[in-house]
Amino acid sequence: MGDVPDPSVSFEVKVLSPSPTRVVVRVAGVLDEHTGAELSEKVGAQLERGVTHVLLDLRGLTDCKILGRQALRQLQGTLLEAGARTAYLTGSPRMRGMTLMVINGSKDPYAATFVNPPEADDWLESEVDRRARNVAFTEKNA
Amino acid sequence: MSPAPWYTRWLMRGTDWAWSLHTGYTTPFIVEIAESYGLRNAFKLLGAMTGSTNRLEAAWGKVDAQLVLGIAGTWNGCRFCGAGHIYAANLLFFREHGELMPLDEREIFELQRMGFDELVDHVTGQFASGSQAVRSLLPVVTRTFEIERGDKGREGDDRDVAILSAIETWNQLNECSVEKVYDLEIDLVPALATVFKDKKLIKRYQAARGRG
Repeated sequence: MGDVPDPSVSFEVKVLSPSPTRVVVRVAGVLDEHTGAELSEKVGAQLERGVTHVLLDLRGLTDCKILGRQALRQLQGTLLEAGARTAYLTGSPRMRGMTLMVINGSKDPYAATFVNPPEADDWLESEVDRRARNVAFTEKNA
Repeated sequence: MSPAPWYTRWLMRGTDWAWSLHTGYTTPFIVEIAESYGLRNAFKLLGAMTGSTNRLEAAWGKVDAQLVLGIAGTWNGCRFCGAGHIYAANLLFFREHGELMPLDEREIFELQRMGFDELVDHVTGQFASGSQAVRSLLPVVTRTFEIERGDKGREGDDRDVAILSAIETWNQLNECSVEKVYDLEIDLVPALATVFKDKKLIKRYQAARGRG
């Protein structure tokens, strides 16, 4: 998985391609309307070249403005439409909460959020449907 | 997310109202649970919440149970569950020991802005350096963070199974709760246990915190 993105920069998106169909998108700094658009553009370009598995590493995000949240919601919608499998990695509870909100709002069963990088990797390598997994957890824990 | 039909909203709110007669609080995202999972699975999730809480109380005790749920909600960025269950743990601890836990529910929103490592260090440090009664809670705090960090728990160990079950259940709940409470004000967060009905205890607790 490599190093955590640098949170001291104002905004930075790095796209790493460990395989032709998979990318790791590392985001650092503040996510707002403009930087959200930049992120969407870079992820969109990857989807156009045939990427099907996207790891959005948001551990370097220091803040996310309301319009940044909106941009992330739109991006998640694009990922759903493209049929991509998505994993988010976050560095704080506040950002984890934001990704839970984005994923639930999109109703994308193939997107999930994680704190631990190995779990994010496992998710991308699996074919698990998040909603089916949740129902199984509920049955088990009732 | 498409809004739930009127009968679903009515049924969920009615259930929440009936439950509030027992607990003293209502749940701001009760309808969102059904909108996210459908009516049948929403009721199954409510059942899993009760089952998980019962398992935690049997394996660890009431204060510890609320701490686990508070840590799970805090970890997920849910203001309502994070601060609400820590508030309940505080009231129960204060009633039992007559002293304050170091983790104040009014800190939770700030803690949610910390990195995960910093959060773990901060909270475990608070419990490690407290009174004997406070230190007795350190095992549950430490184990909860270890399981949040990816430890799968020891199979057949009732205490681990109880924590894992609660974390899985609250992870699912918080997927749909966060939307409604992401920017909630702390004054709108109740203590999420029946102890919230003990208004005399709350008054004494707040006075002890210097908020009387």
